[in-house]
Amino acid sequence: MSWNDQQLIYISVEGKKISGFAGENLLEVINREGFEVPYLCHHPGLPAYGACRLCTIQIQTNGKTSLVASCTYPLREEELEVFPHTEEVWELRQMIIKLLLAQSPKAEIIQNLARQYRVEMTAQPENESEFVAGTKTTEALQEHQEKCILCGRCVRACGKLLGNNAISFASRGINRHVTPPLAEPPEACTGCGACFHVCPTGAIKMQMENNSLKIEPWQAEVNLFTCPGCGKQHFPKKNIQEVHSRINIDYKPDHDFAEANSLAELCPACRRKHTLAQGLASKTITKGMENIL
Amino acid sequence: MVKLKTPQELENLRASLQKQLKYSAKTISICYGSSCKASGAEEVITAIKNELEKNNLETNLERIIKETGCHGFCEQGPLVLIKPQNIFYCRVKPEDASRIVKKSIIKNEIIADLLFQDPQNENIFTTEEEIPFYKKQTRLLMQHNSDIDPRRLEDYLAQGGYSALNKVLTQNTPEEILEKVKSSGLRGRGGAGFPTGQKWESCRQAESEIKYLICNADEGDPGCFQDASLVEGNPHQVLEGMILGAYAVGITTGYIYIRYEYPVAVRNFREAIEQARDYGLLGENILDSGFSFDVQVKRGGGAFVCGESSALIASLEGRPGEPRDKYVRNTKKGLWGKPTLLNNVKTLASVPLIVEKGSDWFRQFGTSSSPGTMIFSLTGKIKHTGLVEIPMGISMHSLIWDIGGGIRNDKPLKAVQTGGPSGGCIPAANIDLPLDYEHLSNAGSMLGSGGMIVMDENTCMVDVARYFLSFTQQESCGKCVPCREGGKHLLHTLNKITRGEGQITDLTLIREISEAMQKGALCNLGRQAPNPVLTTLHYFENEYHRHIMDQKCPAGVCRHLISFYISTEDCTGCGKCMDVCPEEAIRGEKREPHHILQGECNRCGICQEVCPENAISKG
Repeated sequence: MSWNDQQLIYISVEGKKISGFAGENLLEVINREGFEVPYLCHHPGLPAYGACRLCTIQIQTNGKTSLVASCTYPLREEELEVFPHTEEVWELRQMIIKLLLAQSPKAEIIQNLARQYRVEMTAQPENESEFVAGTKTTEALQEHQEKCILCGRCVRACGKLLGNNAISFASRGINRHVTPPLAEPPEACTGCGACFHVCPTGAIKMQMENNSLKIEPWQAEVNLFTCPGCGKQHFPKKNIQEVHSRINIDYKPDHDFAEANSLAELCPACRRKHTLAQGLASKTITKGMENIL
Repeated sequence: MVKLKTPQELENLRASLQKQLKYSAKTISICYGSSCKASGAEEVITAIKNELEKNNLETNLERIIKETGCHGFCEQGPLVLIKPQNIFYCRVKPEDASRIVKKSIIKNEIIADLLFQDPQNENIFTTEEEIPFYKKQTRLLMQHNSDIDPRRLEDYLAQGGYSALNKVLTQNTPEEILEKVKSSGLRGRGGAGFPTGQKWESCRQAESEIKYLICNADEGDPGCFQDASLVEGNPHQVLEGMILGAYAVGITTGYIYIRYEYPVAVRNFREAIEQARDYGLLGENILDSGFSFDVQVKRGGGAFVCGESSALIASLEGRPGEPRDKYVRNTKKGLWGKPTLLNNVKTLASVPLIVEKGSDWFRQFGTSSSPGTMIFSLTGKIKHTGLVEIPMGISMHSLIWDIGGGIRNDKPLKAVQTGGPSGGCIPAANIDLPLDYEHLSNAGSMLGSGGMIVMDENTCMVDVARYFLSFTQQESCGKCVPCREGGKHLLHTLNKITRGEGQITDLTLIREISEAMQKGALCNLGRQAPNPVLTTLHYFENEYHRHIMDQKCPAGVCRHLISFYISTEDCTGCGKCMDVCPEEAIRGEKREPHHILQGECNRCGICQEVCPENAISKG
């Protein structure tokens, strides 16, 4: 189905008529029109989840008014009037931000939201539950807990999007936390870094260190490729293996530099140089094009 | 066992079973519900069996002794009924076995001291029907619990079971059944009260080749066991309801999701499914009608939240039991993305009755907006605890005094908590409130799954709110912020108040957080978790004030706010309190008045319990 086969739905937001496709979520549709509904657990690349409830808006349909989380509300054929910023909605968001601020006072995105919604920090209750995340509490884990808001973006990216399931939620209620299986270094982690990139609060750290890539607090450590061209370390080995196995390329780690699939081992800069050299040699690239590449 | 191939064969079998029943001698029906089992039903059964063997009656043991599902009067367990006269023996002990067999079975005599005696007026009742607890009930769903051995399909057939199915398959179209359920006005007994017919119709209209039916038997409310009593005690009635629902909606696969902690229910239902399959009442081409339907038992994951429909479906699919937003209903997109009909045990168990006897018959019970009966589990400070089935709309007063026998020790009633941990507390002043969906929800509580906890003056309402909230907090899945974080702060604030560290501004905070949870939480667990807090704050605000301003717990429950004193006048210096005190906080010479060191005392109250002179007071 091409995009113009999709059914167009018209809704009214604060009296303004806007449109979106059937099945799209309300949050993306109204934010596309500039209504600036805040959200934390949602990510355009991930399946909708509905955990942070910050994107709650007021809707009116069939004469009934209700509050719904816009990120999980699908656009469908119905008379829909949306009010993204009523007083009731504003008050609810204030309370949610207040709760999040108490949970993760150090997360910058929450601090900014608090300023925007004029929320002040209130006293934080001491945690009355015993925290069960594994036996060892590392410094990285503590730092993570101060920022993590349990939005589940990392879990969905790792599990639903990539199918790696190196991390997941464990326990329930106030003991809920994100952890690799058995709180041990995750074998399934390929070092792709998706969790790091989707985290809204910066609770996940990723850094390169002596030939390896570390992702904390998962204690994940994956080896990096050394670029055969320049000797720079550039990409997690396991991740390349994973990509190759998924696109069904028989991957040999110790093949010759000149072979075609070794391109994957080159760092981006060397790969460009290599392509250019090949092109010049086969005369598919003429001298004048050098600068463009 | 012969597979029944036509509706006529089923009727023939039923006729022969009923004939057998008519000419059979006496039967002993022993309640094997969880409460009676806990008070020793198992030993009673073994003792009676042994006694029967001694008297050479073991040849037709199966026919004489019936281990049945819950009879309802749990407080008086273990219960033994002698049929067909329905002689009601309560609090039976294994020692009574020989008397029961020799006198009641062989000789036809009644054993007077095992009969039920009303503690109020000391009247003695011989049969079950005469006892006020049973007399004032309208038992539709639980009617046959004491007649049926749940592990024998034949017993259910003899009581008229599967006749609704038989009638439907030969005479009715699915549309007619749907119409019947719709016009009966049956509403979901799981708590929300959504009209069942409407739900069925919406699922029937959903366009899909594959649809699923799920029976929700994941009853998790503390103190509730009516679903268990039906699944354990009369599984075929639930199964027949499921088959009828599947026929009306056009479903071929069904599941029953039974709570993990109900092993007997799981066993009985599994056996029921197998027997029904063997008889040809379940599976391919049921009774040669061309309609096929099969059911599987799924054991729950052991979480309260899995009773929530979307979490239940997630759990059934093998994922963690976490709810999702239900802006698209399960009847459109449920289990594995297919239209799914999800009903409570009691809802489905009502269906065979409606189909068999008609919607007008069903509407004569209950009110016009909430027809039918509801099973309540009466617990707390009430004289007669147990399962009670009454028509909707009866007043709470009548339930507590006419059936429940009033408050234990004749103390004044303080409040009634309805609807389990998500319900609210209704004060004694509103005791005439009719029990139906609308009235309870207008009072800030809910009908829920039918839990009813009666509280007397010795109950602290702040502590009650704190207790229920701590339950919903423990059982929260932790997915959404309002429930996880809001609940945490709410519980913390209530804990503070019960410790005497509360401030008057905390009450505003409680109201604000509660409102955010009600409006913002993802599922009904989070949305309804503040109900006990808000209702107690609304009806008993004074009690909160006493805790905060005076540092006193008027009911004498909150440990941090009470102290124990020994009256120097009454104390004889016997030293009993000194012996039991775990903190060694009591001092005093022999035969001299003792005293309590308040700094050391942990306020456990054991000293007050052991004092022979009642010299220790709480204040």
